[in-house]
Amino acid sequence: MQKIKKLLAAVLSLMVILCIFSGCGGQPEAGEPDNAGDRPPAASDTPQEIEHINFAAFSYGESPDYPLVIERLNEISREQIGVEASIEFINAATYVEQIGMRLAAGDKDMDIWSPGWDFPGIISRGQAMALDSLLDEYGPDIKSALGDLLYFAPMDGKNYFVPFNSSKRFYSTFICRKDIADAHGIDLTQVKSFKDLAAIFEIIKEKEPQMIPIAQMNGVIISDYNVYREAMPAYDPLGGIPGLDIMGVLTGAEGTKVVNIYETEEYADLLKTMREWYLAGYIPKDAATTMESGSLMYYEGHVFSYTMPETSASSDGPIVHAGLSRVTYDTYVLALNAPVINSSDGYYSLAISPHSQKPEAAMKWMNLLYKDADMVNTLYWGVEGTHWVKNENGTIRYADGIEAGNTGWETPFCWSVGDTALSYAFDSESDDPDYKRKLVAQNDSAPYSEVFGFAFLPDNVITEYTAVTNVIAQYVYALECGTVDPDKELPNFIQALRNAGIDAVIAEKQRQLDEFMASKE
Amino acid sequence: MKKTTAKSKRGKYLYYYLFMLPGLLYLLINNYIPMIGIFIAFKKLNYTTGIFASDWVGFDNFQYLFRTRDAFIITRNTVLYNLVFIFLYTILGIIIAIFLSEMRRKRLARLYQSVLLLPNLVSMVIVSYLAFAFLSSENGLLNNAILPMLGMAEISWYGTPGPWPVILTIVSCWCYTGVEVIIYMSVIVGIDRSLYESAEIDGAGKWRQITSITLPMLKPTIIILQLMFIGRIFHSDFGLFYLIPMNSGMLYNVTSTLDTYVYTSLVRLQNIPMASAAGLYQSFVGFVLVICANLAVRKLEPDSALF
Repeated sequence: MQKIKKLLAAVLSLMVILCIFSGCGGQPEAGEPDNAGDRPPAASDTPQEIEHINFAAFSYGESPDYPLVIERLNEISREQIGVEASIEFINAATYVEQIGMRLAAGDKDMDIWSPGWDFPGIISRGQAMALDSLLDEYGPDIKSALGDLLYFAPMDGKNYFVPFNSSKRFYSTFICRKDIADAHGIDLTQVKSFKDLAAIFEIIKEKEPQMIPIAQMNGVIISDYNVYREAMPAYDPLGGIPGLDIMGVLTGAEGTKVVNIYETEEYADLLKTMREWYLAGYIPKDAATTMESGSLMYYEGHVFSYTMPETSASSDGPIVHAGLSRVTYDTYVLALNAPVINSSDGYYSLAISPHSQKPEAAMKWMNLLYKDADMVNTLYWGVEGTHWVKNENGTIRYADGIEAGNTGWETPFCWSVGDTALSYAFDSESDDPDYKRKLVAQNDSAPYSEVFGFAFLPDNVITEYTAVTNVIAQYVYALECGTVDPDKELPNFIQALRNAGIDAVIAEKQRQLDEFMASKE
Repeated sequence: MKKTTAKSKRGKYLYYYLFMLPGLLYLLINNYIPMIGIFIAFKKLNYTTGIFASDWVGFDNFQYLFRTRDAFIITRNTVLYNLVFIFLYTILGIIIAIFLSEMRRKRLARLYQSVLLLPNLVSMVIVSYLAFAFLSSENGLLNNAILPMLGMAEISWYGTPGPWPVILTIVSCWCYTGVEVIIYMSVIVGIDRSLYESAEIDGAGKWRQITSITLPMLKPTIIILQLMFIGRIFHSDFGLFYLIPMNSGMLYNVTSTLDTYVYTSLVRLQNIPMASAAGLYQSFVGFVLVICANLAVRKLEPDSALF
């Protein structure tokens, strides 16, 4: 009996230990469909050696049809370049951290990853490989498709990223409900400046008292300082991201002199307007603290309008976006400024890991995304016939029984990877099969900021830079949502910025910009 | 004969060690192995060359902490809040534990105990929205019902720093007192009943019993708990200080602590060495505090010292 007890104890403790080990050893499989099975055993039927690369992409959900789609993609790429890829999906919420950890650990299995911002930081930390010679040899189609856009964030004359090719003409837009605007006779063509919006909000407040006239987006009401068209004819945030690190900017009024945006008259004026809107009840009282995004509240129908940078708008006046599956009502999109391609529009890109063992194969595969329409459309929309079908006029639609919400291939690729000019347009977007190509072609006619390609590297002033981002996070949301009185708090803000060392950051930015301009000539 | 006892003894302890093994492994893997990473705080991380081959930069990564008044503000907030919390947890914990242990209906006492413990099990995210339900300017209970009833003006709670030390203290006590109560109650239950009986015979009232028996018997536990708290005086409850004020910038002066500061300033900027530097600073000062506190205790109460 005693022996049995002892044996039992030994077995139990062993089991506890085993459980713990098995807990540690398991690889996280979530979000990563089984991609070991779809690699063919060996390239025995093809004469040349097939190379495998791994693309670590971000995603927002599951793509159960991954085996189908990757098989089709690999069919194309095997035939054309002798390369096969597997795509690993990582949840977007933790993407940057996970990639960072894998790069730090020297992961040799990851070849391509997809950064969305902080390009100078990525280069400075050595998280991407310099691509120039690879581009010359294996990326001719990338170069011809992107043109100047390819050089949006060079460092020391080298190029590290292959940006997503789409329309880069970003407008600062005002987005509002068409049904409600029409019902109350609101005429958007009368809006000459964002300040004229107050009159519209007055009507909404009176006629639709249960509705919020304008909601915050990314924590602020007016998402872009670029709305001051006259005072800042060529505004460029010089790599700054709103709410994070907009420190020194170009206003266009003073050439390439870097200016502290927060000390400009325009900024004081913006805050005054926001305070008026807040006191008039146009802005929700919790705007500065709520973590909800205005666009989400808009989809839910509580909100009349919000502002957002948007590529699909027009300088000629408001345009209408048809209701989609998620937003059931039509939407007016009104451009508040003239578009400019500046140095810091959010460029989703592809980068090759510095630890990649097959950078050539990775570059060949990336090049195919700028060359082969089949490849691009399969990557974006799934397998033809299964997920989508072609219309007679050359546009496409979802296959029978499939719609935006339930397709088995829902990925962010159509807005972050490859060349959209090669992709088909959905019939809900346009009747013109050339719609996507024409959108991209607009880049050629859009004015480029004169400092396009400049990327600020804060390494030399990282202490001050970090301190300043803290001060910005402390003040901007409350100030730009009108929650606090700018007469009282703006001077405090400016003083706190000075104490944190914003002048040193701006001086460094000016020095780097001068160097950049000199190298351009 | 002797051999067999030694063997059976070893056999007896073997199982204890086996049961300990998972816990020890957990400590080793989770708490000790990561300490190797401390050196990252002194490097400029380059992902291409790897962690080990990156350049050494000395104490550069620590500079930003002391660059502004931020270091003073966050250190002050962290320490002062923790002192207040330690004081209140202990006082409230002891008072409630004594009340509960004096209750005659044990079933009811157990119910109260569970109710007190419940907030500790609720995620801070949910607590933050409970607080939001009170404090929201748009729909909050305080602004829409209670303040008008008292004839007071609305307050923009998330934009007014003044009341926040009190709000955070209330929320924190609401969440964590329950655990203290359980610890103190378990000690009180273990006190020899005959002490109380003889005290009663000697004519001691309830108050006298509490001050002369219960509190002295609790003293070692109180000291150990204080020591453990002091070791964590440089740590703050991230959820409490980040989520409850909804990370509102206007409140930073009274709600920023070391943990939230490190998070807000560094996670967004992806600067691992600087984050490590702040963590190292935090741990180092905490370590020194524990040693000092333990020294002090050893002088005053040698039996209660941790080591």
